[in-house]
Amino acid sequence: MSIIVENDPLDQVDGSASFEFGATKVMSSVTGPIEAARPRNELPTKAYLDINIRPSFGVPSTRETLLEHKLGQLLPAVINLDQYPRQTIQIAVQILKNGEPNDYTARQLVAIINSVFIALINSGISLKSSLMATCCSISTEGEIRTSPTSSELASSVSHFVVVYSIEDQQIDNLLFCDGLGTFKQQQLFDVLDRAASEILLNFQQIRQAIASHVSQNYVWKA
Amino acid sequence: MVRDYDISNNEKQFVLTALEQNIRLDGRKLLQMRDVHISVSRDEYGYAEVSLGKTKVACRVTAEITKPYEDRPFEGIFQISTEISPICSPFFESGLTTGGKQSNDEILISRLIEKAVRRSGALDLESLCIIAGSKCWAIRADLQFLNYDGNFIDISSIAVMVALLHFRKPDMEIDGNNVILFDEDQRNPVPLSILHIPLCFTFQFYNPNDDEENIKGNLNNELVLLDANLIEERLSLGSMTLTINKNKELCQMVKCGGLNIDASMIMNCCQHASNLVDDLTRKIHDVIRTDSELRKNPVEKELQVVNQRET
Amino acid sequence: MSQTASLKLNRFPPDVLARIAPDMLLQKYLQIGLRPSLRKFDEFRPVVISCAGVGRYEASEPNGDINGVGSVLGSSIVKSGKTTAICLISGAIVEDDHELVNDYRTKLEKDIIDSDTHKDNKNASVYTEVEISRGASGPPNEEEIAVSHRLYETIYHSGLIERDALRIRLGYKGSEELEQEFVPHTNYSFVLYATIQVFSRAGPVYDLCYGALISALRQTRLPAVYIAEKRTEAGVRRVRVEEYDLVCEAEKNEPLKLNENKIAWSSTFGLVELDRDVPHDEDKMEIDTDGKILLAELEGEAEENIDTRITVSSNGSTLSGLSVYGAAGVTKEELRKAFDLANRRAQYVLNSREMEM
Repeated sequence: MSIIVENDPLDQVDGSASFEFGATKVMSSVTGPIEAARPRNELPTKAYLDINIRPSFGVPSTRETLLEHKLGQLLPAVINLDQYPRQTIQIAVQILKNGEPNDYTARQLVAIINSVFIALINSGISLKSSLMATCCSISTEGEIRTSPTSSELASSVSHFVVVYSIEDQQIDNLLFCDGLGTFKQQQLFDVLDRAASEILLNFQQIRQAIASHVSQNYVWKA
Repeated sequence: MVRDYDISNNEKQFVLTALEQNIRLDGRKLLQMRDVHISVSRDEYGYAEVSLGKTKVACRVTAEITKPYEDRPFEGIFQISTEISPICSPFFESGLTTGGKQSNDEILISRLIEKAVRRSGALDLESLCIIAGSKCWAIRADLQFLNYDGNFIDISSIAVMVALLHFRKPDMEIDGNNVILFDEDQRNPVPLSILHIPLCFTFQFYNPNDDEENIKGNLNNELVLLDANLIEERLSLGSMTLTINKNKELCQMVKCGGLNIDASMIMNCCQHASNLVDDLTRKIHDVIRTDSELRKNPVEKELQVVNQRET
Repeated sequence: MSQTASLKLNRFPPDVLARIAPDMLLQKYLQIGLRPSLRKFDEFRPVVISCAGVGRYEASEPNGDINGVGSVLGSSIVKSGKTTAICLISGAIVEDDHELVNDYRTKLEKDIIDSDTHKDNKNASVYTEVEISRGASGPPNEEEIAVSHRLYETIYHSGLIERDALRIRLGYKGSEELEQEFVPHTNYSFVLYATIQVFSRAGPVYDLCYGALISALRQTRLPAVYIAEKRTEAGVRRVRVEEYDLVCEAEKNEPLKLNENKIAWSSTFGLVELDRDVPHDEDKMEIDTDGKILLAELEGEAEENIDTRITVSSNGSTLSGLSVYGAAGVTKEELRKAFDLANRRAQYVLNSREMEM
């Protein structure tokens, strides 16, 4: 699987990134910490996450709301929200290419999570750990595929989005797992193992992209 | 909340004084456009990313079969959606028309694009009709604004037209009242019938003198700028958008108030735009042609394989 | 003159402590092996499933006559603890036209298409709307939308309802088959909608909504549909548009076909760590674990704050929808424990007599 990461393609926001793998492409931006737009979004002890996801075509629907909800479940695990009390961190996501059938959101969710993570790094928001997402599917024959293509997804019996945190370049904790379709307990554990090794492999690529971007930014310091 | 983009008085003075001396911050001439960069998707049909300097827009075209409007049974449906998300700049609030300056901009942009592309008949609606009164294609173009550095209007018109030209709808056959659609592997999808390529050119006006000279005087030395960037757009006193096609036909002309401009200067603008439109149209055609050539080869190879098997 | 400041130990009754320091209260309870609701860690609340009796083909009168009117095709009431969920299933008829793009392969050039490469998704789902009553009306909030769409996705991908089960076979009012030449060119299908209302919520509502939806779907009966003799031909500008009047039978109906082995029950667990720093009585300390504690079916203010959760559906042995998230991370051992409990719970609920109704 080839991953294409673009660091800070947008210059009106604090941090941004686009993440492309296979036929799926997502662009994310992070602005913050900024003043809360509405008084009720001002949380006394931590930052408020304002997440906004826009589909590749059509108007935003309940599908995007669920994706926003899932992102809202995952991100507090990695962002140091306590460091920014009463402020807002605005995260805007634009899906550019779905790369999967309309009834699926697995590939998009993976691209969203990874691009938001890189955008967060670029924006300088304080994070607790690194993380990375990947997706897997189980075919009718019980075969596990990592980063399935659109047609592989459509013919699968179940599919998963798995997010692990990464510390010292080693897999740390399972932060998020979302599975749809039917599967056995053992199959899920196999999927988790496969996903973990896949993530370890791909994270090197992302690490490199971030490292080269940082050295670009500090070229004056040499 | 992020406040509007503030320009300090010093910066304002600096930019305007430079303009009076025919100098722009990015080193362009007053009537020079930024470089247009167009890329289209190789994996699918109907997706284009266009950038004009730092301004960046993506456009996606999709099609589905629906029932035509009752009063227009012979025509298909074409919609353009433009919504500015906070991704391109935190000044734009998400999806809310909260009645600020920005949401007015948004409405203005979508109206202009609507008039430029849809009302000028760029897409032949009658060709989208499948069975009169009961089935037609509904084409939808979704514009996604990614980065904002001025001049959303011109870049939007380019993006919509490239995406429309790039789009292919599945081939189909009509069997009585049944419609049979063919998949990409069975028959090559067919392009839309595009009648002409209207492109927008937006000019900004500045007044180096005082108001009195502008209204009464005969100097006519108001400054005219093409393709303004963010700061220039914010400092502008009036703007005009011309929509023009390769045949040098003026499809739309919008100048809503703002600085008073001599009619002869507007004629010059028209002349200038009609010179530019050729190059831009050629560029668009080049992109589309390169893409279709890149696509052609694998398909032909596949067909050859099929033929070989049969013999 | 000297003043001595003395710290007075404050004592709060449990309900006050729950409001000001929910995590502290939870820890206090966990130390003695209980939860604020006085349940054990892995104890579920009892669940009561019943029929709401408002459906078109449900008998509400004692004499067994069916209602015969209304648009509700199936209904259920699920109670668990204080929380009640009411689910109503309604339906509509659509022309299959909009699905043409996905359907064409079955119509022509079958031999050319490699059947392995093109598998149409045969699944259908229910468009769900969840309303959690909270004393004020307004547009649905994010939680309600997320639960609704999650239900839609879980049902869709689990393959509970096949698209074929919703297809309408047109007939005459009598029992005869419709003659070939009168069959309209368009195909019609049912679309199912579900409205779920949740009253006096305490804790996550997904499980209850899922249970209510599944129970209502099992009760759902689809009406027989026939073409009325009237057939309108509307014309605008010499264009002929054919329209048929479809009539749904008041009495004749058949149950909605579900894939029985896909019927599942969902359970949500919270994962919480025992905080050693919270002062505790050595004598009363009953629980002695270094690992995290798995709590079944979260309830009440103190447990709402647990942000590591596992939600899983199970039909007793096979799992279907899974959602795991949490800052603390979840290990396989914890997942295994949760799955075992979920399987047992599903076996118990799905085999209980109430589920049969």
